[in-house]
Amino acid sequence: MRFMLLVKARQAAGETAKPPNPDWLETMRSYNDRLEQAGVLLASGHLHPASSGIRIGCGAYGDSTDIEEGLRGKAGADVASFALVDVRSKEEAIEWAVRLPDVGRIGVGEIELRRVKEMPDIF
Amino acid sequence: MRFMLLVHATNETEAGEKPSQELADAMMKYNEELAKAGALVAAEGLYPSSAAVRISYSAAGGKPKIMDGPFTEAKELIAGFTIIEVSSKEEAIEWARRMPNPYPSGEGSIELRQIFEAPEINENADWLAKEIELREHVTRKKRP
Amino acid sequence: MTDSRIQRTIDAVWRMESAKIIASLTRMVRDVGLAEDLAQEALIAALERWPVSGVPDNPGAWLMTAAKNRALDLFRRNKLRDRKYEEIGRDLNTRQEEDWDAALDDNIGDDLLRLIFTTCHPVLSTEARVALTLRLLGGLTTDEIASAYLVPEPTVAQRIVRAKRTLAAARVPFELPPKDELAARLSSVLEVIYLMFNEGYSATSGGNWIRPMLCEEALRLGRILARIAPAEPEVHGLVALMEIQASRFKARVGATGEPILLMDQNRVLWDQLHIRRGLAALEQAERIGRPFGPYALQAAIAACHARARQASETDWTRIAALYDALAQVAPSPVVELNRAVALSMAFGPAVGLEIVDGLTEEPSMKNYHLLPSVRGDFLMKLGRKDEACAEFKRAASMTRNSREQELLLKRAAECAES
Repeated sequence: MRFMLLVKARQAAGETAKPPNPDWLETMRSYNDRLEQAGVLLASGHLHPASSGIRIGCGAYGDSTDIEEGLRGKAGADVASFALVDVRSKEEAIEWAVRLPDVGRIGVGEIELRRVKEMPDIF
Repeated sequence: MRFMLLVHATNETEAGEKPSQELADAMMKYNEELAKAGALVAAEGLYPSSAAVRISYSAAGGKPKIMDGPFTEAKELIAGFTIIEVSSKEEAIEWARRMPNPYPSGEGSIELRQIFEAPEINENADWLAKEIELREHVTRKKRP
Repeated sequence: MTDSRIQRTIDAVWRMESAKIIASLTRMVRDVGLAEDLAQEALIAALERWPVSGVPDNPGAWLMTAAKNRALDLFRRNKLRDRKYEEIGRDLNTRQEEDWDAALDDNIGDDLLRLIFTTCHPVLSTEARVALTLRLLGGLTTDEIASAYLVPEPTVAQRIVRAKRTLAAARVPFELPPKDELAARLSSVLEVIYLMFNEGYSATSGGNWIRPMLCEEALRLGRILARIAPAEPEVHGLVALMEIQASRFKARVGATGEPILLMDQNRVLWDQLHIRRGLAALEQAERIGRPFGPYALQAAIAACHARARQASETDWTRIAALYDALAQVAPSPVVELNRAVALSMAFGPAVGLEIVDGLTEEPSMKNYHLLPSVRGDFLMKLGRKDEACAEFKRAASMTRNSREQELLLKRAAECAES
C-alpha cells in the first residue's frame, strides 16, 4: 500500500511559510535515508515554500483563468516535505511517521498520512 | 527541475465519488502527453480523508495526537498530485495550464510548487567504502 | 487506542523490527532457531503488555531488550555447564543497555547480511530458503507464507522447523561467506529473492491478494540488500530488474484478466517512479565498474524497453547486443530464443530464423510452444506463408492456454488466406 507522508511545518495563523531551515532538511534527509534502508521509500522531496507557489485557476476544460503567485491557506500550502512509501499496512505507515525525530526542534506541526489510490479505484 | 501539481479535494471527492468518464479519459490523455514528453514522474489520486490519519505535535512538546479522518475542510485537503520533471518554471506552468479541469463544478485551482532536488537513491560513497572494507576484513579474518 | 488497532500496530512493529532483532540475537546466541524463539517470546510479552501500558516510544528497543532478558534467563537456568553457554551468558550479562543500542546500530547491516546469507544457505532446499527468508527477514507469519504459496500452513511450519534443524546440524556459522565463496552464496540469495518476485509477478489478476505482496517483499528485501551489500553489481542489477518489471503491473493485464504482451502494453500505465528507481539502480551497478552478470544484463534489457516511450522507439540494436552478452554469461535455450527475436527486430527476420533453426533439435524446447510461434513469425515476415501457417498450427497444438491457442490459430488463418 502506498502512503504519502505530508510533513507540515508549524505555523502561526496567518503566517507565511518559510523555506525549510537546514535543521529541517538534515533531519528529513537522514529520515528519508532510514526509509530507504528499510526498502520502503519510493520518492521524497521538499517543497519550496507556499509563498513562491503558483495557483492556476481552472475555468472550463483547458481554459486556465488567472495565474496567481503566492499561496496561503490552500491545499498543500503548509506542506514542507513529503515521502511516498510502500508499506504493508496503515499502521506501518503510522509507525514510520511517528519515528520522524526531533519534531519539536525542527518545528513539525503535523504529519498527514494519505493513502494512494490503487487500480481499480482510480478511474 | 521538479514540480508538484496539487489538486485539492471537493465535497464530491471526499464522498468517494469517482470522476466522470469524460474527465477520466481527459486525465489519461494528459498523463500520456506527460509520459511521452518524458516529464511524468508520478500521478496519483489519494483516497478521501476518511482513510487518512493526522499526527499532530503541540508546540509544548510531548507525544503526538493521532487522529483518524475524515477531516472537515475539503478545500485544504489534497485529492491528488502529479510530480513532473521539466527544464524550466515556464514549462511547469504550461503543463499546469494544460491539466484538464479536475473540478466537476468547473471552478477551483491547481497549485504548483517547486520541489527541492532530493535524489531518490542515495549515492552513498561512505557505504561503498564500508562494504569494500568489510569484504577485505572477511578475506583477512581467520576461520576459527 | 482500540484493541484491534493495537494488534495491527504490534503486527506492523514486528514486521519492521523482527529481522533486525533476530539478526542481532543470532549473533549473540549463535543459533538462528533459538534467536527466533527468543524474539517470539518478546513478541508475546508485547502482546500482553502493550494493550495495557500503550505502545512504547521505541518499540524496537523494547522488543530487543525483552528478547535479551529472556536470553539471559535461559542461560542462567541452563543446567548444562557447557562452556559455550557460560561464555555467552557472561557476555550478555556484562553489557549495559546503551551498549546494546550502540552495538545494534553499528552492526545491524552486518548482522542482517549474515542473516540473509544464512536463510539462503545452499544446504537448504529452495522452498526452505524461501520460507525461512520470508519468515525471518520478511516477518511474515506462517499463515501468510502458506497463503502466498497455496500450500497448507502446517507444511510451511514443518518446512521452517526442518530448515532450522538442517542449519544447526550442518553447523552453518553465522558469518559472511569467505571471499572465494561469496559469488556463489550471493547468487543463492539473489535467486531466492527473484523466485519470490516471480511467484508474485506471474500470478493472474483477480487472484490471491497475497501474490502482489510477494513482489513487494522481494523488492523490499532487494532494496535492503542493495544498502547492506552495495559493492555487488548483481544486487543492484536484481533490484533494477524488479523495479522495472514492477513498473508494468498496471499494464500487464487487460480488462478481462487476459495477459498483455510487453509490446502491446499501454505505456501510460507504466509506473514512472519504479522505472526511475530501476534506472538509478542500474546506474549504481554500472558505477561499480565490474562486468555485468545475468541480473544486471536482464535489467539493462528491461531498461531499454522502459526508456522507449512508444514501442516503435525501442532500441533493438542495443537489446540484441545485450542478449549476445547474456548468452555468453547465462546461456540457455530461452535466452537464445529471446536473442533471436531481438536480432530479428534489429537486423531482419532472416537473422532471427538462422538462430531459431539451431534450436529446433534442442530437447528442452520440445514442448515449448513459443519456439514454433516465433519461428512462424519469422517465416511469415520472410514471405514463406505456408511454412509459417504450419508453425502457428503446431504452436497452437502445444499450448493448453485457450486464449493463446485462439491467437495462434488466427495467425495461421491469416497466413493461409494471403
